[in-house]
Amino acid sequence: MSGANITHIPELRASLDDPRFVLLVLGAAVLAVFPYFGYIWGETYLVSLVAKMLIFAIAAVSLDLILGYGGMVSFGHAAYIGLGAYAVAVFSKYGVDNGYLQLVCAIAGSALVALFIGAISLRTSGVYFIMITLAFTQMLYYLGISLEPFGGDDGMNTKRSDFSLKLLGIDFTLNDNLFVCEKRTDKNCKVDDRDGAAIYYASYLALLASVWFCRRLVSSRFGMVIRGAMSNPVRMQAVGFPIYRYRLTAFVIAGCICGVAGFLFANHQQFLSPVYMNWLRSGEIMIMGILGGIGTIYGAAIGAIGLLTLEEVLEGYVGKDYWQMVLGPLLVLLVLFANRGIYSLIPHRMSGVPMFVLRIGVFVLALAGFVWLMSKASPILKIAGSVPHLPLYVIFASILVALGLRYWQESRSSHA
Amino acid sequence: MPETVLSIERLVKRFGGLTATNDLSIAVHKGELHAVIGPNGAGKTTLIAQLSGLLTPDSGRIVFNGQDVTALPAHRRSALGLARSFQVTSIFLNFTAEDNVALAVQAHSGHSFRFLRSARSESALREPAKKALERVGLAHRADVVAADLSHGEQRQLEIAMAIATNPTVLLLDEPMAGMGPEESTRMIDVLRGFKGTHSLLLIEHDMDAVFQLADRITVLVYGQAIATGTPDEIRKNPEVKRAYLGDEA
Repeated sequence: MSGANITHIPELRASLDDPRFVLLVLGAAVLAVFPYFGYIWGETYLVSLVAKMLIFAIAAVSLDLILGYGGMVSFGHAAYIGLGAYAVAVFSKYGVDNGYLQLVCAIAGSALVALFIGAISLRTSGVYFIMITLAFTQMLYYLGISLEPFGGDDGMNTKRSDFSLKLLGIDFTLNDNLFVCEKRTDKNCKVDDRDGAAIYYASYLALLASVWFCRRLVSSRFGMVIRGAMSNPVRMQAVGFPIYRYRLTAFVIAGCICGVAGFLFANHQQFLSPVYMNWLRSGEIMIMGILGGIGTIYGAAIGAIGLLTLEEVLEGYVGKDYWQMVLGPLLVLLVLFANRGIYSLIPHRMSGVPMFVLRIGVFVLALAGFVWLMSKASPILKIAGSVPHLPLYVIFASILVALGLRYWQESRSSHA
Repeated sequence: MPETVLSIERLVKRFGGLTATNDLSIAVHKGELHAVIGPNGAGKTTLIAQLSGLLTPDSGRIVFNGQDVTALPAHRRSALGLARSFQVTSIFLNFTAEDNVALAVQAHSGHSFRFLRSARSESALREPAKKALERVGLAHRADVVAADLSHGEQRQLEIAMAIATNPTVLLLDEPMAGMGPEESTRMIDVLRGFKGTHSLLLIEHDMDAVFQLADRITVLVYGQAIATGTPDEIRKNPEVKRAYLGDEA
């Protein structure tokens, strides 16, 4: 996937004149105060949902680092979500709740596995690379299923990691009673899951850190090397760069960041399941990136939030058991027309804002209309949904078709 | 006696029964533009591949700045100051012109496991890149994405990438290939600008360009040098006439 035909998106400028910058800062600010209002309004579920979005945004950002800037189409990125989650589960099963220890192990474990998978798969390219990364992750998935001590197929409950921090007798632990109430018995307190705020803010900070780190990385000397290796590997070697080493390092860094997402996800769900490593999850992370815009980092975060919102809306309005049947074909369409993703649609100049608002408005209206239509069509969908496993197969097939189409588009445009 | 910076000594390269380079000796003097011409199949491309380290000769030596580099791999030679440009344009299409050159500079300034500092604001990379673009006359196109440059400009960029690392000898593999007359003229001006400061070994099909530019010319036929001399000497050489125009000439 060379970027030869990709139109150049101007770099983000840290100025109030760049709508992208304004939107990102606004978005970060809204997310920063979201739990406060969420808890005031008693919408605990929403806070938890947004926390999940933030966690997957971290995963999508880490994938974009190697996919968008290194041309490494890893179809096994969910492996590291699983590894991060297992780090929590394994320790918590044996009574070790120390979050710092768990986090270090999640990162180290992801790094080791990424080093192993990367060392082998980076010797190939194109479709072979996709297949090998997929195969390794499926191996880990089946390994997880066969690990009976950790629940095997069924998964297991995990305890939240303990991040208490006491220095010189002062308690620095992130306080979940931060906003709303002191005690659970407080009758004004509508919040029943106050640990949620801690997970939320941990994820929020981790996402900000990941985005910052990845943006720095891609414009560093190291970043220029992996981008050059994506654009023209032969020339890079002729100029004198041993590109394998650099690509492998990038692969490991992405694995570590995604391992952090897995660590957070296990804490968020308080549950471990080998399904976290299923290829469907890997495909979902990739679609998040494509929707938001590959090769921008910010886009991946936007895409994660967008896709999970869409899933939530469909599940709520179309129907719990068969919403995947609608999501599947919709994803195929979105990926097909996503082109450079949502991020690339945001204008670079203030003069482009009205047009952008108009386009987004039309798009959201169309999407809302579609969802409404589908909710009316639910009796038909219900019949189709009653066929055993059909919704699941539809989503399987759709993700494969969507990614296949995308790959075909990319490879065709790079040969043109 | 002028100083020799690159000396090719009795070089032989065989592919099965075909001898592509046959006991070839060429001396490139400091500051000169030395052109190698020859009809198709004379072994020009094989020669440049051996000089840049992509092919290993069967016998003979390549001495660069007094050091025997015959067995060194490509990236070591370019680190010593023996740079090459490519026959087929080989740039980073989605990078800007300046990014392309800066990346070439970066390849020659230590390892690149530096993760946080922006490479785009590092003057150690950007200043040499800007200078190289200026020398090939592309300074005004520095911020243009390479894919949007014209074919001629892309070839100029290619040269800028080669000179950005301050090489002592520059190997140019058909820099005029596929260019229109106007672009060729511009490229000739660019190359003329290097005379005196760089030693160049130019392999080129375009005879007009070669006779305008070269200080000395070596004519290659079937892997052998049949003549070496100034453009005037070569023009008058009867053997060269025979090789190019056939026996009746």
